[in-house]
Amino acid sequence: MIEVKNLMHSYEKNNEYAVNDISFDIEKGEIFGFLGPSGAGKSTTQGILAGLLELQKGEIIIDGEARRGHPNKAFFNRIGVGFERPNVYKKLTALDNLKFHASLYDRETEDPMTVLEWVGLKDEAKKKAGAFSKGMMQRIGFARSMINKPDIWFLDEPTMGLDPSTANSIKSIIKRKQKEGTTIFLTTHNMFVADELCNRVAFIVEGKIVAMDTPKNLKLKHGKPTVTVEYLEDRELKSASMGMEEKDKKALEKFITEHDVKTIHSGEPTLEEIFIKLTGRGLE
Amino acid sequence: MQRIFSLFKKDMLLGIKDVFVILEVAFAVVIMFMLLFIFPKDIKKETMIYIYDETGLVQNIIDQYSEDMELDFDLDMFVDNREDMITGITKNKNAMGVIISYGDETLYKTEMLVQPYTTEAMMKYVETEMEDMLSILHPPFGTYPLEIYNSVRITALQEGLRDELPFNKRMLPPIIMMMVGIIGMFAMVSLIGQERSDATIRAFRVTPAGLWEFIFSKHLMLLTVSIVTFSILYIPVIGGFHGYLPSLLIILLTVILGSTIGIILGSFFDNPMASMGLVVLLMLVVSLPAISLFAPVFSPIWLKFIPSYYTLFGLDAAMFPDNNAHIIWQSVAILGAIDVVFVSLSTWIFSTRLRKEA
Repeated sequence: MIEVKNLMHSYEKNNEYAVNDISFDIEKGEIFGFLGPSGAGKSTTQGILAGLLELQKGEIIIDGEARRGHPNKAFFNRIGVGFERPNVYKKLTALDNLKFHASLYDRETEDPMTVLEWVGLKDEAKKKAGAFSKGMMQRIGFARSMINKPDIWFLDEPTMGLDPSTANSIKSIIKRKQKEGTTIFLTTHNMFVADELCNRVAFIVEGKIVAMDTPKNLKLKHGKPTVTVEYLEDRELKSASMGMEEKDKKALEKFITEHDVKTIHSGEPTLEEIFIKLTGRGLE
Repeated sequence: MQRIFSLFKKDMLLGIKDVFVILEVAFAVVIMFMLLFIFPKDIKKETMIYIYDETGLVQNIIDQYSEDMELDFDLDMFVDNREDMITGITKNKNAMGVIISYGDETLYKTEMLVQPYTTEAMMKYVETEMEDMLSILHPPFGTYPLEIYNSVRITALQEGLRDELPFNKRMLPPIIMMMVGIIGMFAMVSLIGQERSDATIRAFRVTPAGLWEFIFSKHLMLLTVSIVTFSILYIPVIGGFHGYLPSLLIILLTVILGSTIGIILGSFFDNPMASMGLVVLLMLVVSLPAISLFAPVFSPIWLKFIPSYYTLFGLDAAMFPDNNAHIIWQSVAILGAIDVVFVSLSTWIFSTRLRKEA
């Protein structure tokens, strides 16, 4: 559905590239995650794909059609973009915000009140957005981004700043939209969100993609499953981690036999650990 | 069209809650009342002199000049009888009167009616002036050659006609220009700045709506507010719709210009307060032509490069029609041409700045 080839972007139009020769493709109905620390080039990539930034170098092909210049109206009718910041008119009510955005599209849109219900703001629909907490404004922004029933949905840190319960509602909506066939490009530095939602993720650092695969494959390829054992020694609870590969199994058996083992937990590496291993830096 | 209506509705909702738009309308109401009830209608400090000319000679001479110069004078200073003169002097504390009649021994006799506080110097001055005028009316005794008298006197009478306009009305063109044009600029900086600082413009840019629709709607909203503000000031102070449409046309073209400058400033400043320095400087520059309006002797050629020159003189010509009707259409044409350039320029600057901020 979306093919990106050798994409490059320089804000100053010099040799310093915020996005440097990246290529990837996203299938229809896939949730593709862009995982990287702040300033890695995630939002720049999303900005170019969504038509906010000009396409300087490289190719963007959507449904087999290469983009030439600024995207046309048909493209904007098909996409939804959720930003990291809420982007709401604070002097308008939540409902008026959505009604206004719905009126900008040339296609069938969601009912604003229904969308507000999905994000848990139905009862606040007629309150001014300026009176809302940051999390509530974030939800209006999220609701706005799907008001036009987008085929391609760009989401930038969709759960950032939300309480766990609201974040779960948002994740459920994303999963539901995926099932309905929406293609989702999700940028985040939250490894748990990426792990839970994305079919595939790309690690991006300093404008370059350093790894791209399913979260499962990345963990299998680049991380080792481990076992954490808690045991009593000299009346003190201690713990030890061991590998789970063939060569480690005998050592584990021996350890269990020789120690007063209290708990055993198996574990797999997190995406963040894989990210750190591959890039030498964290996601924050 | 549906989209424009939707944008317009949103901008009106935001506009009526915007401090600068509220200020514009509120100030218009306050200033209208001030112009009507507080500003003096006459601030002339010089003495008004009523003339009661029993002989009719002065009127005859003026009629003759009017005919020769193809001018139409309507002079308030002539009264029909002594009672009218006394009434006028009683009402106007700056006035005095001169009665010209046939004398017994000389051909003419002058009599002066003064206020208790009229100074000796003023009385002496008027006496000399009258003596001089009566001498001139009889060329053998005249002080000046007739042609000089013609030019000097006729010019003075023309200026005198302008001075007859009430002061509060004469103040209207600069007040309307500053109130409607300049605050419109502030409002646009505020509206654009708000869209940028709240990043709502980013959300708009990923919709099928065009940036021109976004800007057009804001212009439309400010033009609507300007029509209201202009009408609040114009209709009560002028006392009706005389010259309303051409004046409105000129002010709307000025509002578009102010709004486009507001868009340019709003592209660089998130909040109008940050742009205050530049705005004050602009206000100083655009108010310079007002000096020329009130003191025509100050009329350097560079003044004509300031667009507000055409607003002020166009409004003045539309509100107080005389023989300068061409100034209205000249102003409309020049402001229209400047608008075309500035609308294109502001749209380009705005979209370029936005692309860099994405």
